[in-house]
Amino acid sequence: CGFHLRDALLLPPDLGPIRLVARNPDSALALALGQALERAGATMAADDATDVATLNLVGERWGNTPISVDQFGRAQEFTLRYAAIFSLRRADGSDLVPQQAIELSRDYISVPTRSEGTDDEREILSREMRRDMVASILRRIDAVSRMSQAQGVGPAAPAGAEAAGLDSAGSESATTAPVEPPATAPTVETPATAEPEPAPVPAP
Amino acid sequence: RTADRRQPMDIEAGHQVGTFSADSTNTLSGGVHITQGSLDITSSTARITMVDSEPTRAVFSGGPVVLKQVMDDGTPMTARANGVDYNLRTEVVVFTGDVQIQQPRGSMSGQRVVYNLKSGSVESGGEGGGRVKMRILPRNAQAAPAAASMPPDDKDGE
Amino acid sequence: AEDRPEDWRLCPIQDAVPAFADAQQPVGSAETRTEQPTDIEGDQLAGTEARPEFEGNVALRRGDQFLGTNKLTFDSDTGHYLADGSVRYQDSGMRLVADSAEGNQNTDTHNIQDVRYQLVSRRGNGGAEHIEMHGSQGALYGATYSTCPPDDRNWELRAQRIDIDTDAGTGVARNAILRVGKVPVLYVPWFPFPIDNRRRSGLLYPRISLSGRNGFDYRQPIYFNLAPNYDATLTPRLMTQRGFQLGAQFRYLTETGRGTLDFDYLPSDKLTERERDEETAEFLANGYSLDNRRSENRGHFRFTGQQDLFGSWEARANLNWISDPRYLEDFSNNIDGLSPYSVRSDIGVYGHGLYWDAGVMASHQQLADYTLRERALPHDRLPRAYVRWEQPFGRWLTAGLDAEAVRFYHPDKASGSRMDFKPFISMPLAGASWFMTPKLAWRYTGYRLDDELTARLGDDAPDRSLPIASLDAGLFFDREASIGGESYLHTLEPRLFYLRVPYRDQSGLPLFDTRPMTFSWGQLFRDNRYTGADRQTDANQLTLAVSTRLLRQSDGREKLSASLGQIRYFDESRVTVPGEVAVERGKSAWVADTSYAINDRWSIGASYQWDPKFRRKDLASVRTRYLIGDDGIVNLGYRYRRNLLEQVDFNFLYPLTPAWSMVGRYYYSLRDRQLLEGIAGLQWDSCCMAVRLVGRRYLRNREGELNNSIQLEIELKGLGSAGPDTEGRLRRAILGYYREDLYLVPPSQASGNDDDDQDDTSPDLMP
Repeated sequence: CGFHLRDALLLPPDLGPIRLVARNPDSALALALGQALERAGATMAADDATDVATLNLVGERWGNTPISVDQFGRAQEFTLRYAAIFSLRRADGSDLVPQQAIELSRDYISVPTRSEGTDDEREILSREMRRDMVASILRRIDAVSRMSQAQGVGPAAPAGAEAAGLDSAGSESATTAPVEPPATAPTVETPATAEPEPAPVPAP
Repeated sequence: RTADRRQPMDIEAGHQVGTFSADSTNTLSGGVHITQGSLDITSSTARITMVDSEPTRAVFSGGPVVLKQVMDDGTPMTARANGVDYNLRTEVVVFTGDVQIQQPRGSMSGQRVVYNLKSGSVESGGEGGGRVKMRILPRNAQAAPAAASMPPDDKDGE
Repeated sequence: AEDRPEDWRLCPIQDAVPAFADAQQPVGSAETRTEQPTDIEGDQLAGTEARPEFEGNVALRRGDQFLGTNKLTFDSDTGHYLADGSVRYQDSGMRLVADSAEGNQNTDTHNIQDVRYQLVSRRGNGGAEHIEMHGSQGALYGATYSTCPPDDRNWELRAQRIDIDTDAGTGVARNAILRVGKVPVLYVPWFPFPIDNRRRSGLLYPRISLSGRNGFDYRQPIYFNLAPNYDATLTPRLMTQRGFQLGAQFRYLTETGRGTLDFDYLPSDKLTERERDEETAEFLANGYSLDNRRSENRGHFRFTGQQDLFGSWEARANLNWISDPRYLEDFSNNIDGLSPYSVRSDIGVYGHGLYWDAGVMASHQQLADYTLRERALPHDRLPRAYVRWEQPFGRWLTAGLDAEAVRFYHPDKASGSRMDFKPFISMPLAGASWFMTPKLAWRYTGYRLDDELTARLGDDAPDRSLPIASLDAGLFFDREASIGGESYLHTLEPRLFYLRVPYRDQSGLPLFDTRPMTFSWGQLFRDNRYTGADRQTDANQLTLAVSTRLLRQSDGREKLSASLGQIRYFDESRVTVPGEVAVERGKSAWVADTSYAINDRWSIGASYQWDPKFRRKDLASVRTRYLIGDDGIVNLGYRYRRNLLEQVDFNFLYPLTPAWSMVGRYYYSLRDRQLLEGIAGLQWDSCCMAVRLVGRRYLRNREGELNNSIQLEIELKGLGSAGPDTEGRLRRAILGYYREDLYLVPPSQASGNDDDDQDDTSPDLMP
């Protein structure tokens, strides 16, 4: 039925070394992503290397919200959600993988009368989700690389295309979102420019 | 200054037509330079009318006529225009054609400006006289000589 | 919660006082005006050179000022000027049209008659009998102010005098009457309001609401912009039925850390007194602990902070305290005030590197549900130290260690400390289209128990050690597929996971933080069925699973992902926790997950667990979401968990027209035949005013009694919203009500806050 063993995760040969840029370079996801890329055969460029391909980890966000309450109104089921926004640009700045958001979610039970171990379960889930996020990002890069590989240079996706994607690496529960990436202006300027002067926003 | 009128008037010119007798009209051309006290006028041509041997009116043209003078209050004034009609008796000067008047207080420009040097009253523009512009320098800059060059007189007439 | 920025999309493009075509680009600011030259031009000039009189389409320009008029007389010595006839004035802060104006350029003072004005920064506009301006300050007499366009005056502030400072961005109205539509709504002797959206000290938007429990509820936050990197907000709040509450928030931000401190305090809450007898009767009837009753003085404290230490080490704190278990219930009017049953605090130092992550932390929980007793809360961990290390050695070998030492403490339960030590080696073999990872671990867990537990379990230092062997292997198949003209990569990923752990009698071990984990896809590939180290499953099982995905090749987005898996138990798993049924030989429940992006606006996700042994379903959940336009969204969800819940949740924000939109939620528990939350609301939005009328029916207390509340929120854009923060509340009820929330619905109880520039890469969270 046409299925064949996958050949190596191939990054377009003209991609060259990849520089991993993250808003929080210390984030565990950034470290794990760098390792996984190296294992997949990519050569990582130094942080300050110029005109090299850039994998930009624009943002990460954790969320833990109750999704069902019992008849007394007490939360009994939670969903741990993890979203990451990334993009991969070639050395010349054109998009290989346009900026998009991946959202993973895992539901878990924590009934009020037996809530011990909830912290541990959440910690186990969060470690698993971080591994799945790395796998999801690599998978998307692989899917796009294959196409650009097949068509020579491959079309640069229109920058800032308003498209949402949804990813759930076999997540226990179906995630809800096609995730609408933040309305990035089509300019190259990514929204995550660090403000020089940190200014807390007035809380109403 | 009004005291200029009592000063001798020196006239140089490339070419002169006329006798400068009591009542006469004399035409000078080929580069004219007239000084009288603090008054100093240079132009390409001039027509001076004498009435009972006293210069009463001088009409200059050519480009551009440059008239320099010190006012009664001691402040210098420099004017440029294509044509200048100076009535020496009433001290009223009519500047026409890309007029620019420079003073420490500021500068003025227009297509036609009537300037009474004695009273300081000024009149410009109106019936096709084109836009009149005036620039007044801020307090601290006025002490400096009115060197602030006028913004180029953009031809934005009506 | 983060406020949604003012939304001016519905406003006409044309300003109340349209920009003057012939005005120059502003140069410099109000302060530097007097150093700029003054250019005047006109059709005609008269008067004297010192005191010119211009006529005919006169224009005076200086710095950022532009004055257009029919006739202008100017005295260059004194700077005095008089402008008469269709005066048009503009500077960097304001634009106005008037009959006449008089003033002095040197002292930059102006007196303008019969004015119509427009603030440049924020659509504020109106009229005035006359304006006295000095530099950037303006005093408008007999003035009106509104952000509405002149021909659509939804609200207007009419004041005897309005002082405006375009530099400081503040406006103060005196003896003002606020008119909504044609109806005078409010008389205010003194009313400050912001005229641009800069951060500066002063009053923020007041919040006014009315409810049975609180009576008339007026909150007036005062913001103190103490320094560029720290600020404070004080919120005095008057509730006629309960008393006077003071709330405060302090926030700081440094290069290496940030933090927020919140507290509020309501001395002698009348609600406590009012409902004391009824509450006591209810507690005695249901056997609830009397200590859980409302306290006299109510308050709560909360500190969240992060501080970088050295290298990758950072300290994080998330401390919370409530005065009594009913605090959250009494200080919120929606279901989210009721859902937490405990309030968690944790503080610790965490670090991580390429191959390791570690931390030393402490965590404590405080009861927030009056029907429970302290015993229901899990043990505090005072402290807990953990390290996880995994490092490849050469190409084929990886070694690592998971270690944790915890001292458990609980006021009402026996306590003790535990040390769990799990070194492991694994051989992650992988090719392009396959992977196989055998892993062998040895787990040693030892305890030091207090006397009570020692007496009960017979040993003050029980321990357990056993080997854990597992093999995780999988293949990757894929093929090109094209659907609807788009080319997709269609993958097929079979995977198996074999786990072999010998049986050890663990009945002599205490239970501190261990219970079975939620059965899910992830559970198929874990080497322990329990959350904590108190129990380690014995196992001889094999998981067979397969996943398939459709990845769009143009941008890598995943259109479809589906997975199916099951565990085959070759032997019975005899380790259990009290109340748990042992796992018999045979098959586990099937686990199936799928999510499908029908198109970029519509997605559907489902999970299903079916137990072949008892031929029944354990879990069935379907969630679908449809995005409408920029803001609209419809969510429909059905959840069933055996013996736990069967609920349906339908919520939507439906934009009928750019102005009108409907919001609604119907959250119903089929199992208890009980409405959990119902919302019906209408929102009318216009250029300068938004009105939200929201009716809500939600669980008010543990008795399952429902409470109705009708909330009217009038938001005068640019002046301050006058109603309760219904918009914030709606975000939680409706997933993604406010588009940027689409990833996660605030307030997420994740640590770290929600503002965009700060990432939270750590999930230490609060239930």
